[in-house]
Amino acid sequence: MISLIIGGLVGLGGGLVYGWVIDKAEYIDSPMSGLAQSYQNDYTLMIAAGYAVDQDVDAAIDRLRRLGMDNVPIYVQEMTERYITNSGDIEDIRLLVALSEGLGRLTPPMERFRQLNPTGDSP
Amino acid sequence: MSQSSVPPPPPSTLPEQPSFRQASKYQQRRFGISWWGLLIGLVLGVAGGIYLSWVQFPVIETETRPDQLRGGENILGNEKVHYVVAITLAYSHDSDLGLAIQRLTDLELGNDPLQAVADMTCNLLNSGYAQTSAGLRAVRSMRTFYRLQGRSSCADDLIPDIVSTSIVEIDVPTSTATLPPPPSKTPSSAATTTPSGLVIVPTTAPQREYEGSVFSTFCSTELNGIIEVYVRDFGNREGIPR
Repeated sequence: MISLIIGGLVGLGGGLVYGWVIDKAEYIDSPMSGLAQSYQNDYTLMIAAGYAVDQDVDAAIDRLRRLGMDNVPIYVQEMTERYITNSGDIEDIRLLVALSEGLGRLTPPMERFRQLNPTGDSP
Repeated sequence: MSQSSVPPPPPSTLPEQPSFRQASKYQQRRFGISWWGLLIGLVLGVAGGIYLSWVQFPVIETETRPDQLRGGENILGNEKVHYVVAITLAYSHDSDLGLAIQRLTDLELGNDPLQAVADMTCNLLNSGYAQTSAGLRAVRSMRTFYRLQGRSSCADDLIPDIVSTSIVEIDVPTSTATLPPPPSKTPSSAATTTPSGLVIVPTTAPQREYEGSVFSTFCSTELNGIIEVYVRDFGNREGIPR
């Protein structure tokens, strides 16, 4: 009986290590909110590029909601400022700034990355 | 020798020699390992551990790759389709085919991801996704993407091509510019007015002031050397109000 218990405990520990560390359960039907951070950033950049083409704010918000963000404008603002702080790709920053501005979240750090527009009020 | 001289028979056991008794359980070796018990316990333990770690308490997935996104028959709930929409929208902006292919490869759409995009476009159209202007733009971006790579789908026939807006020409008779006659020294008694012949076409009075939108450049292999001007009213509808 003692052997059974000892074997069971050792086996249980081994099974847990295998299932949690070595070969984790892999989801195959994940929502977009579970995407890794790098892929979330990439997806947001793609939506920002789409916004640069069609200027459709509602469509951009609708597409970014799939990432499970409660507040899309703040999410875009924070990501934009993070890219600026980390000296990200200039074209990426411009796309994000344009989207953030379209969402009404233009902050001072973004000012110098604004694109020229016909109203002439950009720096 | 008399009988009394015969030595007594030896006792069954010597005083210093313990008598033989059957081994009791207390005399058996304690904590002996039962290899069979250990093996059975090990198997049961491993099975229970894997069940707990895979089924009952799996690791919460936070590092999902695009290929792990939800697929399936329900096209509107298919997360991979929405990811593809984003890829083609980005392609419509930067025309970076290599980057678009790399992103499609991450989705693991099969042997021919470009044809998979074409099939998704067809399914999206049939689902009613393109009933909104945003959806229609997305589907058009997908169609442009796969057609440039030589693929086709039912969307080729269902979506009308973007045609240039027909220009309505209005013939307005205009008067020929003539120099005014030099003033005469004697004023005429009755001034006569002549019709100028200029016809003014009334237009809708502006409802609000014009607000400029954004100038942007784009590169398209389909539309070379063209300037597109999109006019929207304040209801966000395209076209010039009549």
